[in-house]
Amino acid sequence: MARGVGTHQTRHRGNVIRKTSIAVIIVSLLVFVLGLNGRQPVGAVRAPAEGLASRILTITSMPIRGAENISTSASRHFDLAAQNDKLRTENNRLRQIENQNLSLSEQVNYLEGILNTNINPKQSQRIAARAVSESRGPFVNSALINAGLKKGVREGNAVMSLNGLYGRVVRAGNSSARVLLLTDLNSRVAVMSQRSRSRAILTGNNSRIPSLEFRSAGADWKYGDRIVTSGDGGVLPRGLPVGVARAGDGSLEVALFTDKQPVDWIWVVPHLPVPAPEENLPNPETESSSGETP
Amino acid sequence: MTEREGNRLTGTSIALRSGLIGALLVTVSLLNINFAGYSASLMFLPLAILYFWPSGSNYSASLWMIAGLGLLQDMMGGGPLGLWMLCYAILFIVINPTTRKVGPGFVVHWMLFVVLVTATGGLTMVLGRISLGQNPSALPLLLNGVFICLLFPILYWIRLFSRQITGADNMAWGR
Repeated sequence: MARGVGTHQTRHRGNVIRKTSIAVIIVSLLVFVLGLNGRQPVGAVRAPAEGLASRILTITSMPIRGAENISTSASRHFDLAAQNDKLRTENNRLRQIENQNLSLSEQVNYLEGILNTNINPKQSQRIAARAVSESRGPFVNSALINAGLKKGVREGNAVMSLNGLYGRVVRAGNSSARVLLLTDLNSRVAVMSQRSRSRAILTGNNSRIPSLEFRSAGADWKYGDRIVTSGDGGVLPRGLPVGVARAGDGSLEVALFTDKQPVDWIWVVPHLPVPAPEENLPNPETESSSGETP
Repeated sequence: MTEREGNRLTGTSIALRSGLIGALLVTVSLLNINFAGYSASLMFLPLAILYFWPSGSNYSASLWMIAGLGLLQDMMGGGPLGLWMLCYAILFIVINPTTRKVGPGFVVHWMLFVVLVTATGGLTMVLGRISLGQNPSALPLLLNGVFICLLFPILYWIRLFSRQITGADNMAWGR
């Protein structure tokens, strides 16, 4: 009798395990399939989750960032004298460049006045934030920053570190945003050589060194070329520093400026993408109504 | 309340507590450490809670909790959605730690954990391939795997000490 009850309980438990396992696997598979190819089926939930993660990580990452800063500054102390000499030389060089820049900007202003145009519109104010978590895993290279819609961060905005372009915002929540790094597999940024203005697409491959793809056959590229954003496509502003071209495995690679030191503070560059002409057509109703008014 | 209902309630409570610890580990796994130009993270850290899941917990609650932890890691980490959720669910069903009886030897635990990490690495490679449409980077996966395996002794001793401090050795869970 007791054995019968025991067998019944074991069978019941086995049934529960089987049913729960099947249910969980089905739900997990459903979520996985819905999220394929970067789709965001639970985008409404994801943004608050990232906001929560951003708040927690802002606090928990503080000791780690502090330790990183200590180790970085400690290593800098070893060669203070050499750095001092280097900075002095650089300072002299920069003074000359500053003078050149001043005279050049005067010339540009004068020419803009003659042509009645503005070739380099002023950049709007940048939004400062902290990269609270940086994921350079096997699947995604992204960072979570602690500024979002409330501070004016919008999807598609460029994100700069102290040294250069860091990535672009792919998802913005109220108080946090997800930044796709230049090294990510899905990252594609229109860039150009500052020297020759030859165009290419900076393509991430989940390694630290992205490559330059879609170069024209006769394009003028050299190792050591300074790479900046070209602004093609109107997605990112033109002229943001990216890195330096170098030789790769049969192709050109880019040593990113952001790789020089750990990224802590970043700046979001608000930029309104240039809409395609077909997206920016005048409203015929408005046009006709405005035409009718005397 | 019957004895069976009491047991179920206790089992669910244990699963919930483990889930909370798991959520903490998921949060820690998102932190990254930059040192000498290299970046390291503890991507596989939540595997520790999966491996040390208490044997007295309720199976259904535990499985939903583990899947939830995977989803949390997916959403907070910004990676492919459902990857960790599916991975953790499959691993939990396969190893079923709620009924597992493992010998007390540390080395046995370590070896089993290495096997678990290897299986996770393989599974995430396959799921990542499906999700991304191309192979994910194997090197960070390998490095993270090796890192967490090297860290296992610390995790093991933390768990051992916490059990001794809380007196969990005398309770149903944690066996």
